[in-house]
Amino acid sequence: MQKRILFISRHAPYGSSIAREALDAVLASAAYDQQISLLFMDDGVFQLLAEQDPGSIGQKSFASMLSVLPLYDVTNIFVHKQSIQTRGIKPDEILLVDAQIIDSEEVHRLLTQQDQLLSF
Amino acid sequence: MHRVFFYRDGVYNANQLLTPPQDEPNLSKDWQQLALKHEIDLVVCVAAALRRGVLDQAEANRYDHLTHNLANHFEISGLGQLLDAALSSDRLVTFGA
Repeated sequence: MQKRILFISRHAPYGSSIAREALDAVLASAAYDQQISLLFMDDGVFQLLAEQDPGSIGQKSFASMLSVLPLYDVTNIFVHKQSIQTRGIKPDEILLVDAQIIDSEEVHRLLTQQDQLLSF
Repeated sequence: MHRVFFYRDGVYNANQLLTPPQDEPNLSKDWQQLALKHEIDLVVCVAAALRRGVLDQAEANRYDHLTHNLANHFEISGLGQLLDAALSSDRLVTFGA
């Protein structure tokens, strides 16, 4: 039986490896034929900015890493509306065009629908 | 309970060179005792461990390191072990994230 697993990514893309390791966990899980969803909230929404140029700090752009998600059939991607609003990010600055922008109430509903939650 | 999966900075628990002061607990040793007593898997994510310098003998050989430091009763494996546990367990409890 398939399980519904939601990954929650809540931290900025650079400065620590947490965002990268969250993405690694999502991609590894995508191979298991489960109902995988991914939610960006809090500072995690900074990962989604299309314009990222971290070359000067010796990092690869997170935008290009996130762009592999559709290739792994990870298409249930959610972005917390209030998180982008409070950080001054507009929906058209977000890299994953198919991501659904949902408010706190919908986030709550999303959480209650899952079998397992993994938060990073 | 059947598995503890060490990911991100959690892999430091598997470093056998941890040497806390004598009046502080040695969490690595505590994990080992817990695993022995209750027959629990202690699984360490290979990618997170390599990034933080926690290697078993096989990984040390693979990367030409002279030494290895994975503590007893821990095993190095992949993220698949986390998902496998998530699928076969009715509860998944996460600490530290």
